[in-house]
Amino acid sequence: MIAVVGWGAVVGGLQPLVAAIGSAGGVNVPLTFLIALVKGVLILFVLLTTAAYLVLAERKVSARIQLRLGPNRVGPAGLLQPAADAVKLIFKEASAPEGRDRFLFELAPALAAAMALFAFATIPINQTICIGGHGGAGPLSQTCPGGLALHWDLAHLNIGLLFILAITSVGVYSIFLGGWASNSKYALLGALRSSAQLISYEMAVSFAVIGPVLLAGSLDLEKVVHAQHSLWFVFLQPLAFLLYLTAGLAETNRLPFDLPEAEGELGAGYHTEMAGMRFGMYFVGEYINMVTVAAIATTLFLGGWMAPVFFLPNWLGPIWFFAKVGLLIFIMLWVRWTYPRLRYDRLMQLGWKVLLPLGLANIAVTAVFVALR
Amino acid sequence: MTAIFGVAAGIAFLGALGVVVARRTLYSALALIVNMLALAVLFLLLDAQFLAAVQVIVYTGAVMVLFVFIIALLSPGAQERLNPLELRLIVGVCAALLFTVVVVRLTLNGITVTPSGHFHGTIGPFAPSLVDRHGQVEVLGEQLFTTFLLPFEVTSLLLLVAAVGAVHLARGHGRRASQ
Amino acid sequence: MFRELIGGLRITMRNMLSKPVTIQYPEEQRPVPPRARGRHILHRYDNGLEKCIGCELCAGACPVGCIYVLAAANDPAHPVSPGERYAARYEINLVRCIYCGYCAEACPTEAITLGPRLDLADYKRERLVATKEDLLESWPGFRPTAAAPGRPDPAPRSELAAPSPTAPVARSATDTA
Repeated sequence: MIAVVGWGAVVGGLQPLVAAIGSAGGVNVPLTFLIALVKGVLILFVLLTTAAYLVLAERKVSARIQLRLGPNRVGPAGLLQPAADAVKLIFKEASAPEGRDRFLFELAPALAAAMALFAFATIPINQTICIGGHGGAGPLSQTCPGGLALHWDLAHLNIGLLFILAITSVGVYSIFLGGWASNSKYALLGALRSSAQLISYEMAVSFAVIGPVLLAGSLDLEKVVHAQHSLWFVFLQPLAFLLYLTAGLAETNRLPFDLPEAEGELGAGYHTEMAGMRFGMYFVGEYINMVTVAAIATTLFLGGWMAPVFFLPNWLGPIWFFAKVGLLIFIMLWVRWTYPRLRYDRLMQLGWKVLLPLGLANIAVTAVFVALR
Repeated sequence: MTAIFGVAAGIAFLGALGVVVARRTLYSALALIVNMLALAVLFLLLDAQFLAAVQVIVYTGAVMVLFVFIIALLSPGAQERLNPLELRLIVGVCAALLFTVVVVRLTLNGITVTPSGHFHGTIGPFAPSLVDRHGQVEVLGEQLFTTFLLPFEVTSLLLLVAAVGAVHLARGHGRRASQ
Repeated sequence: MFRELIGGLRITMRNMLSKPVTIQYPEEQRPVPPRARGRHILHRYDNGLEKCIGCELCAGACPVGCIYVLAAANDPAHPVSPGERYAARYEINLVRCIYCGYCAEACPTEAITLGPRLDLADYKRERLVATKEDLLESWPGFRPTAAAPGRPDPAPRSELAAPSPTAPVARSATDTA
């Protein structure tokens, strides 16, 4: 419990801090800090709620795929089920194995949730809005002379994409340390598997995202979205989109790539020994990671906040954004309940021998295309 | 900003200290990770966002993961504490002091200290304000592939050699064992 | 490869769009097959007399010995059953019973059959010992002869079989109607 509250505070505090560092070039540091704080709390709230309801969505979708109804007893249509689950997790006995590494055993689950929350910081939900000033932010200008530019991401970095990659690469530690600190063979094996898997598929993810970055000519996610105003990159980079989705599934440890927690062989993998809210934080982290992966895919390939059809209003940006994210998440759920788990060597082969060369080829073709344009 | 710098620098220092002091190897590695993350924050403070991200991706995300991986697999026992009068320790401290002097001297190169205690330096070609005007990645990429092309290529050659060596070690061994 | 992958996705999507087959159990219930062997029913003749004559053949036929019958002589003025004797106590341990139906086969008067009730659950095992009152058939407007005055009181039931008004098995067998 203390760990939960503590880490909530740390995460809530860290996000605005990074934002403040990122945007300290501006004039009004206390105001930016305040805005960042509000945005941080909002994102925290939205992401945690989303994660809770994703669990419900997952159960509902799986139920419908298996011709069942899914949870429908708690509240209307089971809508209060996440609350019941949360209460259950919090009050559950947090049993822990003997001989564990006490410090890391507490740290690892918190790290999982924290890094998942962190990664969302640079994703632009809408285009920059100009409050006051004149002119307003046009489609390609991100400055706002005389007014206050309200960014719809938490930390407006010009290397937003790299920031997310960096945070997810740190996220590996939460899984690895959790498995190692448990002093249990299943957990350790799961942790080893997951580290190898995450490192391998991080390469594939990086290569897949380079395509749209090359086309947009920027790592700034907002500029990447603006570059799609005439044509979404999913049409120019269909291969990269597929590669990203596949590798993203692996990055979030979801079926068919959920080898780290393969129930049949490893108990529950790296979180075998985690009970109560320790498990809960891994769980929340996993679902937030899904949201993040879907959000990145939306930003890079599906035109971010832009209206899906040109005659629909663009000012509904966040709604389009979340609709696209929801669609991608649905696809992830759908895939999960369709395919069986891969064997581990096949997983590695797919990562290194299929996704990576395809990604490289995609980069080469895109680079030639950009150079000749 | 100064406060954030202080905190980050303090964490970096503590991390570096932890690498040396920690008695369990895994904790040493973790301290190194903390140190690297703090360094990334320092880079952020200098507006070197690209460098910060790369620092985290390459060092914490890739190199240190492998370190931790190996440590956890081999699970070495706790390190014996060194006798304070042992020769190794004395030599080590001397070397560290010497290195510190060199680093400080190099850092202060081209920087003058005014009587009032403020630092003054000349603005080089890659000052943050200049870099910001073009974008970090753009400037960095351009410099890497023009001014610093030779060092860049030599470095990549070094990595290639390392990769070939690793492949040779892994493959050669396996073939002999299978025959 | 892609054709197979897409094919899998198509199947699951088709499932998702079709109607779930779930029956929401306590509210909706599947019709019980006519020959299902659920909880026992002790039957009556149309005039209200119990069919059971206390012969204990059911108890003898029971492979697990879960039936207990205590017979008593009928009062000729107010008979409970048409025969010489009737079952003063009739208890079935529903937890032990394997619902084989041998008791129904052994019964010479077809007094006991296995009914359609399958939801046998309770919080206390003691309540799952069904007593005669639990098992006896009844229908709307029926006045049991057992309530007639002057009839000797049946032997007191054991503590084990103490009925509870809230217990599911304590409901009368009207659900056969």
